[in-house]
Amino acid sequence: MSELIIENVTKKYGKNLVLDDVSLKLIQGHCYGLLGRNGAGKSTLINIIMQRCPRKGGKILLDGKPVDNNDMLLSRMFCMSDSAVYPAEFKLKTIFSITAAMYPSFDTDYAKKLAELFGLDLKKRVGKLSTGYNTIYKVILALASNADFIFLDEPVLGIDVNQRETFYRELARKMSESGSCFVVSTHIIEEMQNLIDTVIILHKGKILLCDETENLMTAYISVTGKAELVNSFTADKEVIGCESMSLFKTALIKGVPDDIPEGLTSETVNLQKLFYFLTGGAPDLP
Amino acid sequence: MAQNNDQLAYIKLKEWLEDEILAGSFPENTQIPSVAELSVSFKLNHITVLKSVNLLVDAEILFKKRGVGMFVAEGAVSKIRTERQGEFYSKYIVSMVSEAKKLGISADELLKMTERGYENE
Repeated sequence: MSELIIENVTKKYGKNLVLDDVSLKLIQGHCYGLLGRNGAGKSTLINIIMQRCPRKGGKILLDGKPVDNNDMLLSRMFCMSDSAVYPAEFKLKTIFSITAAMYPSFDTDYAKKLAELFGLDLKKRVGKLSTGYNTIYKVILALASNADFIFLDEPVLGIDVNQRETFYRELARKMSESGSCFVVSTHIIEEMQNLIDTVIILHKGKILLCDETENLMTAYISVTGKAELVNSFTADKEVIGCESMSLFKTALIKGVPDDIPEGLTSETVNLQKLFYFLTGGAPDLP
Repeated sequence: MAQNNDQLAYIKLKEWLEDEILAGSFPENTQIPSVAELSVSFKLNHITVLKSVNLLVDAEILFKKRGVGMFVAEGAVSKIRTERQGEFYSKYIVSMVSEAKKLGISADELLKMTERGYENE
C-alpha cells in the first residue's frame, strides 16, 4: 500500500498563517474526510499537496520520495479543484482527451458513462456550465482518473440530491474496485459519514484531530436533561460543547460513562454534530 | 455502560444481513452479495462492509469460498435466533416496561396487550 506523507507543512498568505505545521499520513485504500469550517485551510492544504502553490518548509513524500517537481509521482495524484483550470471556450470532450493524455490510468469509457448518468453534455463549453455541472464535470474526471491518490474538494457543491446520491454510489464503487485513496473535503458531513473511514478535522490551520470515524462516534456521547442535572453530572467530565433551551441543556462529553442518572437521556452523536461542537458551535446573538 | 454503537454503519449492516437471513431472503448454503455489491447498494465504505461481513464469518453465520464469494452457513438461522433471544430482554422488554410505567400501564394490562398482539398476528 502506497503512503503519502505530509510533514510539517506551513503556509502564510502575507501575515496570515493559513497552515501551521501540518503533518498527515494518507494510506491507499482509505477514504478520508477532510473537514473544516470555511477558511480552515482545507483547499490550501490540497493545493500544496498537489504542488499548485508554494509552501514554506516541510516535506511531501509519496512512498518515501519527495513529490516536488517529480512528474512521475504527481501523475499518481489527481485533484478536482475549485479554480477554473481550463479556458472557458474549451469543450468538455477536449478536456476529457487532455486528461486522458496526462493521466495514463484515466478511464475514458467510464468517464463517458458517468457523464450520461449525471446528464452532462460533453459538447458543451466549460465556461457555459452551471454551478452544479461545473462541479460534476470535475468529479467525473476525478472518479475516472484511477490515480492512487484522489482529492475531491467540495465534490457536492451546488449539485442536486439525485446527483449527490449518484456520486456517493460511484465513490463507493470506485473505492471497493480500485483501492485508490480518496480525500474528500465537504460541508455536507452527514451524507458522507458512511463513506469516510477516517476523519481529519482542520481547524484554524492546525490538525484538530485525525481518527477513524467509528472511534470518533463511540468516543463521545451527548446527554440531555434539566440544566442543573446536566451540570452536576458533567462537572467531573470533559465537556466539548453545550446548548441550552429554556430549563434544558444538552452537553457533549468525551468518554462514555458507565451509567446515566435518572432524568438524563444519552444519545450517540453523529459526525456532523461532533464536528459542530468541536469547532465552536453556532454562537448566538448576545 | 451506555449503549453507544447502535448508530454505527457496520452494526446496522450486520443486523440487516441477519434480518434477511432470518426472513429467508438468503437461505442457508446460498451466496450473498459481494462486498463490492453491498458497498455500492448501501453507499458504504468497503472497509465498513468488510467489518460487518467478518463479524458474521467469525460467528460462523457466513463462510467464505475462496475466489467464489460469501455463503450463508448451515445452522445460521438458529445461531441468529439464539443470539437475538439473548438480547431480547435488554433490547425490548426493559424499554417497553419503562414506557408502560411512564404511562401508568400496569403489568397485568401489559400482559393482556401482549396476548392481544399475539392473537392479531
